[in-house]
Parts: sequence; C-alpha cells; structure tokens
Amino acid sequence: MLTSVFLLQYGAEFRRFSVDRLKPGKFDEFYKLIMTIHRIANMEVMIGYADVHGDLLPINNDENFSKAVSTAHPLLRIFIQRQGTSSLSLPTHIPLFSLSQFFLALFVFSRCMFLPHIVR
Amino acid sequence: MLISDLDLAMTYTQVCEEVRTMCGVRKEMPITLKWIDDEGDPCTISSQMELEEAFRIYSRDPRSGLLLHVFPSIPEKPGMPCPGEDMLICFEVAVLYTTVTQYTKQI
Repeated sequence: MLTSVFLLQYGAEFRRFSVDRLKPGKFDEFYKLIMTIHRIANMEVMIGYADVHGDLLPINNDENFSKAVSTAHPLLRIFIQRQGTSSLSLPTHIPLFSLSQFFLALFVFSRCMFLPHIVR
Repeated sequence: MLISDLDLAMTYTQVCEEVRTMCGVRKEMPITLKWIDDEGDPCTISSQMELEEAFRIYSRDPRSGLLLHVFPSIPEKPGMPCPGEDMLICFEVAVLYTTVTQYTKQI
C-alpha cells in the first residue's frame, strides 16, 4: 500500500499516522478524526498545510484536502489552530527545551558521573 | 525508555499495560507515551493507529530501537506539553550526549 503520512501539530502536541495515499477519505471524516485524536471535539479550529513554496494553505473541503494529500512526499505537515486567533499562520516551532536548560542538565549529570571517583 | 525486540503485534492497550508494569505506574494513574520521530518531533501515542506508525518507522531500522518517553501525567489541556516534559527530555538528551562523549574518549 502506498502511504501518505500525516504529521499533525496543535500547539506543542504532535501526532502522526499513515493513510492509504490513493484512498485518504473525505474531508469530513478527516476533520472528525483530527478532532477525536487531539481531543478537541468541542473546539472550532482551522486546519492548514504548508505547500512546496512555504505558503500556508487551508484544508476545509474535499478538493483542497485531496490536493494537500497529493503534495505529501510522503509526509504532510498539518497545522491546527483555534478559530478566533489570528488568521491561519505557520506556528513558530516550539522548542522542547532551551539551550541553557540543556547545559544545566549536562552540568548536573556530568557532576553525578564524577561522584563515585571522588568517594573512592 | 529504550525498547528493542518489540513484538509488533502488540496493541496499544497491551503496550500501555507493559509500560505501566515496567515503570511501576499504577493502573489508575494517567500516562502519556511519546516517541521522537525521524523529523525530530515528539509524537504522542494514544491510539492504535499512532502506535502502528511508530512501529512502522521502528521496523525500518530495528537495531536503533524505539525510544519511548513515558510521562506519568497528561497535558493540562490539549496542545500543551506534559508537565515536566521539557526538562525530562532535556535530561535524556544530556545523558545521551555525555554517554556518547565518554564512549568516544575511551576509543
């Protein structure tokens, strides 16, 4: 089966699954799936994807959903935003941690590694 | 936790039970499973289809194992990270970096 991979991002939450590239389904089913999988069934959201030029395009009907799936190579990044926020825009990548936190953790861990040698 | 030799026939429910047993998390406590995909994104697993995607990527290179992050919590709201998620992953990255550095010096 030829697969397309959907990588969904809602805030800091990422979810990923594969679909049959030739039978991705209808937009309504996809929308319900997203609402269920992200547990945002009671929210009004906007869904979009980035095309090859980096422009964020909406997904809100069968036609543009099908077009979006056809651009997956094989991964398609899909962005979900609440309606009522600013117009659909590519989210700033939310880093898992800052560089300073990384170095702090590195310092703490390296100190722990040296402790057994000091005790001896 | 780094898992290798996975039984790819395991269901999401079975994986959760296995993880709870290995990590000593009681049944009534919530847990969240995440894995880092080949794009570097921490993907949540809370359904069978998401688990199958993680298994599919793992099976492309089984030697690398499947790194699962287990959080004994759930996000406060959809779209938020798990409590303590940033420092935990930061610590794991620091552990990995230090381990690799120490190993490289020994060679």
